[in-house]
Amino acid sequence: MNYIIRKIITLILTLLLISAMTFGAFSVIPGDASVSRLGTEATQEQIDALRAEMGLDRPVTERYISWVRGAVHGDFGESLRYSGTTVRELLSDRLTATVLLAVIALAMMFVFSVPLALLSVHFKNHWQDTLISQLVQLAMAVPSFFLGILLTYFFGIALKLFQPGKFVAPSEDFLGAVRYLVFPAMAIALPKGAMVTRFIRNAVLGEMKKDYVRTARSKGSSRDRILYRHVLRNALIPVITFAAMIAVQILAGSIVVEQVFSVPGVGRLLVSSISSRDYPVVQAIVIYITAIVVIMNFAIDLIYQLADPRVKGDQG
Amino acid sequence: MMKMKKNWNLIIGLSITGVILTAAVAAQFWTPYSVTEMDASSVNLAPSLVHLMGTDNFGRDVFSRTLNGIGITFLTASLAVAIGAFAGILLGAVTGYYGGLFDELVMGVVNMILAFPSILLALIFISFLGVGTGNLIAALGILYIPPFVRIVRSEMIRCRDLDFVRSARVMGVGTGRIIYSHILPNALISILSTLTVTFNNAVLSEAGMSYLGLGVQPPVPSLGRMLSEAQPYLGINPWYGIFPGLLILLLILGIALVNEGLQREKA
Repeated sequence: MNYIIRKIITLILTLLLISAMTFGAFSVIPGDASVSRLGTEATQEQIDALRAEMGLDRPVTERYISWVRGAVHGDFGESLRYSGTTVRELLSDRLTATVLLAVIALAMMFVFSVPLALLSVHFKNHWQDTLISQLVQLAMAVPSFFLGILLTYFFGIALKLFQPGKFVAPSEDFLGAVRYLVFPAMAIALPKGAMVTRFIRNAVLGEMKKDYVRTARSKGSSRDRILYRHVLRNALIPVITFAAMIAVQILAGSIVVEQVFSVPGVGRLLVSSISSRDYPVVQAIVIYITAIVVIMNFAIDLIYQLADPRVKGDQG
Repeated sequence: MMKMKKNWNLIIGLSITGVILTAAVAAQFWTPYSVTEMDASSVNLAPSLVHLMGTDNFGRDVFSRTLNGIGITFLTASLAVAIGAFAGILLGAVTGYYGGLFDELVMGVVNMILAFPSILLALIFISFLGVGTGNLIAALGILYIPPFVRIVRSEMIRCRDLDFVRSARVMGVGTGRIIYSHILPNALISILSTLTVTFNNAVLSEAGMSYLGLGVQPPVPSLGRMLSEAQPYLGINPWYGIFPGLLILLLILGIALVNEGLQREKA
């Protein structure tokens, strides 16, 4: 229990630190928000007036404190590019699309990587294993956005299975959205799934070299029984850790792939906000992703302890 | 006695990388067509003997641009990895050898950076620094410090109390020399392997960022940017979207095979 409280405090501190750092960095960048909204031809009086209205004339620390106060209540301020729209409104729709994409990609990844890895283990050093290894090697080298373009061409333009660029929001047509997202999800899942396949294969094979496997074998257990009863259970811990790491990367991978398939998600918003210097939005997205990364790592620690009682909380 | 099994991964990997690198370097001095000149009379052509990879939407020769662009990718990635390796090895050596508070501090930052996906951090850095090739190199360079710190630090910790280091110390060898010529060579293969992995990440990040329009800026040809330019024309000219991507794929595959070969060499 003590451990969890300590972790939560670390989580809050990390978030405060990251937000302070991004806030500080954004406030020293030349050409602040007022200039980017009014354009370069605005007079000094106009700029001063807007700065006062936006509260930019106050010192950084004061602004940061009021930002944190708002953020705690889910209020991240207003977007600069779409004036009058709060960051929260901008984010909420896009969040659904991104999370949906990530979930589909994650599911897809496991659906093909786990059986492939087990197949590889079963046929260890036979041609099937070699073939799978070569394919994995190849799939790991494909940049996800290139794969996205290939998928767009084959499934979108040649086979007309979906209309590239015509994404319908999940709130309007959930099934339609899912059907569209299958293709970007594939672009993310294939390279990452290849990594997971290889990782599971090596984890299981490494585990099978251990003494207890030989003991079980000499007592008459069949190979498959040992594999499913003992080895997989023990190989689970490193695999979970790795999968959680990959999950974070899937989220990041969606930044580029959303662009390829014109999915209006968080990643696309982040990229366009960086280009148009819409800092409140960038700030909010950075904080949101940081929170996810930190919470994921926290979850990995917890799963670790549940899966293996030998891991003590104190080490984390 | 000398019957060693041939390391095919290393051989094939080095060949692929070598061919691409040679072509890329050559393309900095000479290309069949101008890299930037547009030709309205030959827009979106399919591959032929005149234009090996066809032409783009401005009538530029894709073959010339692709080869020239891979050079930019090579340069960007190499510089970024060089920054990361130099700073990382230095930091890793110092923190690993001496330990203490500085070590804990550095490792805290290192672990935090490693927890984040690098394309995301690159995006954040670019949003501070502004768009541009130089800024991208700087951002990636900083991001690639942690893996080197980690690998060198662990080697330092493993070796610093071993007999050969102790006897060197007793014989009066200076700390810098112990680190540089006694401990560091042990980490050579691990460092090489980290170099290949980070290099591939750098290639991917550069291409990805350029694809997003936040990396290499036009008119300099960049493979990532070419892919994003090709996308609206996929229906009429799919080749333009395929060749630059294939070349990135080949480069990454080549380097990954080199890494694989290195791992086998170590085992």
